[in-house]
Amino acid sequence: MDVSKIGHHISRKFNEELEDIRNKVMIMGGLVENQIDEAATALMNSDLELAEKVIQQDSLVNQLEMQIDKECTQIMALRQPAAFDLRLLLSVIKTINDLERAGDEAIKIAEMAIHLNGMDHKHKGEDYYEIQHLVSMVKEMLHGALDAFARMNVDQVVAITGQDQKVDREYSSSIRQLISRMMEDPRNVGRALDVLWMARALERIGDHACNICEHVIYMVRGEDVRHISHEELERKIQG
Amino acid sequence: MTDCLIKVDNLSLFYGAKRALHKINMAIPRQRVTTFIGPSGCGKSSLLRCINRLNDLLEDVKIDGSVFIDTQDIYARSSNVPALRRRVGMVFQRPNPFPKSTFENVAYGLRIQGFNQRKVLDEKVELALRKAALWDEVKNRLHDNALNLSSGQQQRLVIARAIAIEPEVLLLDEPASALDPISTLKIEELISELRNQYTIIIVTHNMQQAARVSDVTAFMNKGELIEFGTTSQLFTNPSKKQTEDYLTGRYS
Repeated sequence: MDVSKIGHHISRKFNEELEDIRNKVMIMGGLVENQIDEAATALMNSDLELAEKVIQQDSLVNQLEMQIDKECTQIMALRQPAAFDLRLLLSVIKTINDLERAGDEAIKIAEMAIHLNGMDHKHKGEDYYEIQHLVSMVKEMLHGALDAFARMNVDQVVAITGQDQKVDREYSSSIRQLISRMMEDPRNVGRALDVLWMARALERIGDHACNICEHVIYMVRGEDVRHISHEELERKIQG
Repeated sequence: MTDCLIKVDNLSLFYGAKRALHKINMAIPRQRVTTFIGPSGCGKSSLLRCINRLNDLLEDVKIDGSVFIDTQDIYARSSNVPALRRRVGMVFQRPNPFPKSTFENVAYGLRIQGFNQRKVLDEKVELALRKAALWDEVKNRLHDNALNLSSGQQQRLVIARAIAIEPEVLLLDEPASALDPISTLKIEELISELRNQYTIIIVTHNMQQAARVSDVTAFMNKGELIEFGTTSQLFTNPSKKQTEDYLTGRYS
């Protein structure tokens, strides 16, 4: 699907409404990307102010989600869209849900940053080396998913969902290491659990990015690729 | 898709030198609702009228190809046109009841078919009016002039008149376009009720109506069949760009 197709409706107002919704999704995506980035920075640098900012930004993300939902509902009621327009709106409704939940995971990390700052024994940023790599991987995934949405292009989707498998492996490996450390010395348990919760939040963000990729495939190609293996997805995209 | 009742085979139609249909091939399923959609002048009404040879009544019309109902080629020389039209009923855009009573409108075709016994007529008229979801509204004024009914009621009466003679196929040409939203919904409800007994083909400009009532949709443009498939597939993920552009209201 060619992005420029959006603007070719006979009704100019319909063009504008769809374009506006797509722009709002991109704004919301940008905010969530920012939340993840800042939550990770707040954690690494023990920056309380930045962590608070991430939490406050959530209300903006939530408002955008509700506003986009409302606009999609209105278009469905007033214009009874079909074919690509219908798939676009359904994909938007699902995408913003995933974005909002990815934002919630970023908040968990920001809250953890605040919680750790309040503890007697403060950790340094380098204590969280296990999750630094995860952060960069999921940020890249979410960025790629939003890019695919903006360009309406499914070419990069396989690479993004492939990255999710790496994230899952990284997550499992982190858990193994953390369990070993807890077994070595019970004094490590508190820190290990904190890291584990954050790794879990990041792994979930990766899953949301994958879900967005699935919504993009549905929007562009009309194919429902949920609940299939990565290999099957790859075959479908290339076929 | 279920088995096919009507097979349109390489059908072309010319009004004088102008080609209105170009080599249409289509298998219309039995006891399902099929809609023809497409822009004005795309040939959907012309195609509909081919199915009961109504175009024969127009001058300067030339038809190539065939239409089969079951195995019978309705354009074969041996084809009996009045018998065909008993088998294939038709309802038009504007309700066209005869200037007679409601009862006589429905009984008219039955009398021609030789049903003259009062009791039989009463039963068949009531059954047809019930099937057309009109009985409760007219049962106490069966002998009033049908032209006094509302447009929506008149259209259901015309459908009752068509189904009284028990056709296999019902052709509906924009059956609800002249009606208000409530009457339109009643007609759509009626089509849903009748879908298991008749093979129904509808021409409509109202795409939402096509999406609501039909099992199968044919999209036509400039006399050609562009896409033919299940309504759910065609309205959510059409395979042809032209269909996509038409459904979404984009410039092609």
